[in-house]
Amino acid sequence: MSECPDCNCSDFDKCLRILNLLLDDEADESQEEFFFSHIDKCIVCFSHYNVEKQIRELLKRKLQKKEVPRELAIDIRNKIVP
Amino acid sequence: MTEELELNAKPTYSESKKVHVFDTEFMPHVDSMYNFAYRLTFDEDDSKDLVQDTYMKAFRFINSFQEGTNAKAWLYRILKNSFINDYRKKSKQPAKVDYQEVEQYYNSEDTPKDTTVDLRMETTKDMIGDEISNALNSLAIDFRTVIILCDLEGFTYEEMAKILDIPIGTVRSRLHRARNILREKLGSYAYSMGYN
Repeated sequence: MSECPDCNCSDFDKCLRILNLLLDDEADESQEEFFFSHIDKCIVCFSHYNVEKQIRELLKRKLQKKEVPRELAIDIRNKIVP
Repeated sequence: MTEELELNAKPTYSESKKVHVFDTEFMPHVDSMYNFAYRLTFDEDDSKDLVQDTYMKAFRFINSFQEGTNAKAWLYRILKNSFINDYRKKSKQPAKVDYQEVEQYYNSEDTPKDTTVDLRMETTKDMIGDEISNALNSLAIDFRTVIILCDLEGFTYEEMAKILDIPIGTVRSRLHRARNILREKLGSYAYSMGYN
């Protein structure tokens, strides 16, 4: 248990835990509801939420997909049925 | 380990059915398997070998795969185990960072209280792919893997638990720690770019 530096709610760790679940699509409805009403009044959790969201988007957007060698799928297939 | 891939109800496919299952369920994932392999090995030839080995094993143990279930997660599990058990033993990769050690170090203060000071939204938008990539690649393999599976491949915690053969609680905490380290590294980049 830790205190939130902004809104003084008693369980900052819980907020962060739910934040991660939420951004990973693993939060249930009540957790979702709790969190969104919480960030309306807590600037610290709101900032954390935005940073975490940004990092996830950054990873998806900026990490280039590696070009797959054209012959790879063919080689694999040929090994199965020569 | 491939022996562990066995499911409760084991199908027995005919030879032609095996090829059909292989083509329809496994082959569509070659591209993402190659990308996963590359993020583990950082080497194109090693990635090709690893993906080929994975597919050969998948075919050899195809009777352990139930058609219509999660082929992608099944293949990822084989690839990850092949990487750990076979590839890394003979690889030129630097010695493994001890996970326990890393975990203990970063676990000393689990909650990053000053994240918003180190890394703000406006600092990340100017980061280029190389910086993100370097930050991700510098994570210890166990941390890097959970980030790849969750954020890049979109696996659920439950799927990740099966792929990595660890409890869901461990997936959650490992992911949490991985993100803390990643955030710290991205914060350092932001700092070196003149922010803060």
